[in-house]
Formats: sequence, C-alpha cells, structure tokens
Amino acid sequence: MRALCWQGKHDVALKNVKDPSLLNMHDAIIKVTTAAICGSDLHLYDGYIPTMEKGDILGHETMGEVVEVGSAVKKIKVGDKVVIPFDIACGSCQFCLEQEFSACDNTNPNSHMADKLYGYSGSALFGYSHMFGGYAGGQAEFLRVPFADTNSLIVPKDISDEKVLFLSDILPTGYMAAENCHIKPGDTVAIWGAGAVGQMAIRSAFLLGAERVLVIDHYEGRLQMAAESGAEVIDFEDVEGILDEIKYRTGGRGPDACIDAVGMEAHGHTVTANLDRVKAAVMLATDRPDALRQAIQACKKGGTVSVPGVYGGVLDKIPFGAAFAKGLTFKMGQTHTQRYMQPLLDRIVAGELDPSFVITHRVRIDSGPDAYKTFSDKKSECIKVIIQMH
Amino acid sequence: MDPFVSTNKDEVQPQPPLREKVEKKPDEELKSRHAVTIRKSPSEVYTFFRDFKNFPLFIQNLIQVQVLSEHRSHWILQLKNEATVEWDIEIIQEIPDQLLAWRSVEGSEVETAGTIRFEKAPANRGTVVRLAMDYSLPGGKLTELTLLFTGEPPELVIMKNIKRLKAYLETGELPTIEGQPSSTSGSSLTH
Repeated sequence: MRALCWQGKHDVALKNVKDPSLLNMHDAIIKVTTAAICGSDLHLYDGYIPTMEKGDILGHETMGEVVEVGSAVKKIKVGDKVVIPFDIACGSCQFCLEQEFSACDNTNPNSHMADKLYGYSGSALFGYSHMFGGYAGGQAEFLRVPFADTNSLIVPKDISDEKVLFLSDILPTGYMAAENCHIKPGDTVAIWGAGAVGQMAIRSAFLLGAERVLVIDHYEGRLQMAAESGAEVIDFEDVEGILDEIKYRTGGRGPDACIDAVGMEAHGHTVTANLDRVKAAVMLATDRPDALRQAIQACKKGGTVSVPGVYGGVLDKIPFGAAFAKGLTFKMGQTHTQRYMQPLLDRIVAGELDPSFVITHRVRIDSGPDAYKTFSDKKSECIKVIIQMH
Repeated sequence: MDPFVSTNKDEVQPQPPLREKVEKKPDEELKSRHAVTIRKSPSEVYTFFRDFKNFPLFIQNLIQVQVLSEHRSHWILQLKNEATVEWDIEIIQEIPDQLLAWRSVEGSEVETAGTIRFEKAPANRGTVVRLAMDYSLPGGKLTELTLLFTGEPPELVIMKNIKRLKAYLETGELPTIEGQPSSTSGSSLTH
C-alpha cells in the first residue's frame, strides 16, 4: 500500500510499504477513505517531538471502511463505515471505565519511556512517535486499529466523509477544550490560535452557552474564518499590548476562561517569545509557550485556563505567580475522544453542527508530501487539509 | 531515552554529597520493588499467578515453565544468541489470594528470591500487586544475561513484564506494533 512516511525533519514522503495485518485478536483493518493532516502533525514535521523514527507512517485523523476484523472483535463488522479516534484505548482498564480514554493504561508498549518523562504514560496514539507507542498512522491506504470495538465509531453510510472525519480529533478536542471552561451564561471565552482546533472551540463555546468569544491570532485567513463563526477577532500584530486590549474588551474583568489552542510552537513577538525561539533552536528549551503565558496573564480572577494545544516537555518562564495570585483553574490534556464521538455525531446528524467548514484544501494521496509543506508554509489560507486516500 | 533532561549549560549542576564511594561488588544483592494495580479480583490475579505455566503468556523470552511438584518449578529463558538459561524455584510461603514467596533452589545458575503480595484495592478498583525481589548472582550474571537478551537493564525488564501482566489480565492481549508496516525495515525501539 501507499503511505505518508516521516523520513526526518521537514521530510514527509509517499512510500510503498506492506499492508497492515491483524496482530492481535481485538484488531481490525480499515481501508482508509479520507484522512486529514493535523496541526499537531506539524510538531512532528518540525522535529519538536522526540522518538520519531525514519519510516514511521503518519496520521491520526482517519476514517474508512472495515475490511477485516480479529477473532475477539464483537461490535464492528466488515463493511462498516467508521471514524477512528486519534488516541488508542483498551476499553477495559480503570481509566477507560471512567471514560478517561487518553489516560488508558494498556495500549502503549513503550509506556516506560513516557513514565520516565511524565511519571505515568497516557494511552498510545496513532502515528505520533514511539514514546506514544509507535503505532503506524492513518495517512495510508490501510490502517490497523487495535481494540477496534473501543477505537471506532460507526457512522451512517449516507453521510459524507467531510462531515464526520473530524470526529477523530479536532471536533472532540475543540469541544472538550470548551467544556473544560465550565461556561456559564454571560461568559466570555478567549481563544489563542484560530487553527482548526481553535475554530472548533469557537463553535463549541457558543454551543455551550458563551456570550462572547474573543480570538487571538495573526493570520488573516484564520481570523476571518473565526469572525464568520461569530467570534470577535484580535490580530496581535495590530495591537499595542495584547493584554491591555483583552482587558479593555472584557470591561476590565478579563475573560472568564482562556483557551490555548496553539501549544508548543507559538509565534509571538514578545521578549519571551523571541527568547523561546532562540532557546528551542539551540535545544535549551523544548517548547515555545508564549500563548500559554498570555492566557494565564489575561484570565480573570478565579477563571479557567483550558489547554488543548500540545506541549511536550519542560516550559520556561511560566507566570505561575499570576496563576496562583488569581486562583486559576487549569484543565488540559489529550482529548478523551471516544467519550465525545457519539454525542457529537448525533449533533452532526441532527444538523446542529457541521465541522466541514474548516476544510480549505482537498488533495489526493500523491500530493500528501506537498500538502505538508503548504500547511506548514501558508498558515493564513491553509487551515485544514484533507487527503483522499483511494 | 530521556530527551527532556535539561541541557542548559549555564545551570549549576548539584554537587553530590561528600561521602566515600561505596564499592559495589559484582555479586551484590539487588532489591527490586514494584507495584501495579490490576482491575481483577485478588483471587483472579492470584489464581493466574499461582499457575506458573501462565508466565510465558506475558514474560518476554520465557519459553517454558515446567511445574515439577506443588512447590517446585523449572524455568527456561531464551537468550538472544539462541542459548537458554534454566533454573529451578521453590515456593517457600503461600497464602491463597494474598501472598506467594519463592526462592531459587540451591545451586541454580540464576539466584532469585522474593515475595509477591495481592491486596484488594479501595472501592473495587481491583488488586494491588506488590513485588519485592532480590536477584543475586555470582558475577552479576542475571544483569549480564538480561542485558544480553534484551539490551535492557533487569529493572526495566521487570517493570515492562509487570505492565504486560496487567495488560494481559485486563484486556486478554499484549499491546504490540511488531509486524506493522513502515518504510524502513524493522524498528529498533519496540518489541
């Protein structure tokens, strides 16, 4: 089969590899119809995530048709149309029972690596480095899905891939980020980053009852899309002081909740942002957390900072004193995707949500490597790329 | 693998406390302690554990455990170079659903001794399994052997196998990526 493989920093190639096969009795194989490139794939592309190996198949936003099931698979059948969550959960451990699927104990064969780094390992992830299990990803013609009954959502055959593909990651991720804000009537939510997750968070925040959503970014195309969803947008390049601007716009109180939908590769031009860039370049720091710093500073007293943006390591100069002084609540982490897939599918089927608005680029598998480059280089107009796999 | 260890050259490295280095003998006893919580009842975990024939289901490179009598068993481990190492252990204490203690039979090439305790976790969260073992070998042989067959230190091998035990009991299978496609052949980091 053909697959998009990580060959090194800034090097993704379409390669011929062998087809996946069933390796365990709870596995299934799906023929991938559509996959997407995620903003977090750019962290791999840019070489920010350790333990990638040359030849690893990328991709964690995937859907397709079941073509083979293992002997212990009960729920899904050959021919089912399924969306696959990016996190791999066993469905049997204490965390899975409590619906904290991305904290699953049993799917990461390399959990000792993450244990060392984080104290305890979370679940394995598709196509996201060997520290997170090293599982081949779904930007390929076929995908092996472990614990297939837990890690697939059956969707109606007559619904288009574009409407349901994002149940695999960005829609549940944006939704959980908003849910974590515990939005009350009248609340203002500020969102850093108008990429695909930020866009999903905007609509989710309104769905959950936010009065106003402020969005901070510097890409014109992304801000425009955010404005079309009803958000008030701020181009941080245009304002003198972003914190003063947010304070003014929120009546001197600050946003009730702040969402950092940027993560480890923030683009700010503050003194700390420039320091981060230098430190990361010479490997003195692992992440560039300027969006997070601003979110902490901007948040109202007693407010919530919700972090769907990905961080990997040790962060520098986080204003923890501000977080303490204001009594902030922090909510973060990989999305428990499986928890949100069915209820969000129900909303899509009912016509309350259509996440396909975020798609700006549609390519065929042959153009996959170029699509990575476009997504990386043209962030203003390129917000979400989907890849037709067959 | 520890990619996030600080590489900040400006940081002053903490000085080790002033004391004389303790000379480690190659055959020094090592104490290994690990705990894991498994979402099965103590009786289920104990019953699985007490039947040593089950061990090859989750311990890497363990080819076979022959049960010789109620208290004695013979263990055969595969090494990388196709050689094997074999030893006998005997159960020296046994409290059903609570405790097992063993030691290797005198004269074994591999010397081990330890206890494993099974305890009900709070609020029906399963069973806490606590392992305490010594492995003490002439010439540090077990350390050498584990390095030889896995390239990994014994503590890591023990920890991985405990996680595999948990995964096996909770899900009925072991997580793996062995045999999956990649554009390069093989993968050095995973087994």
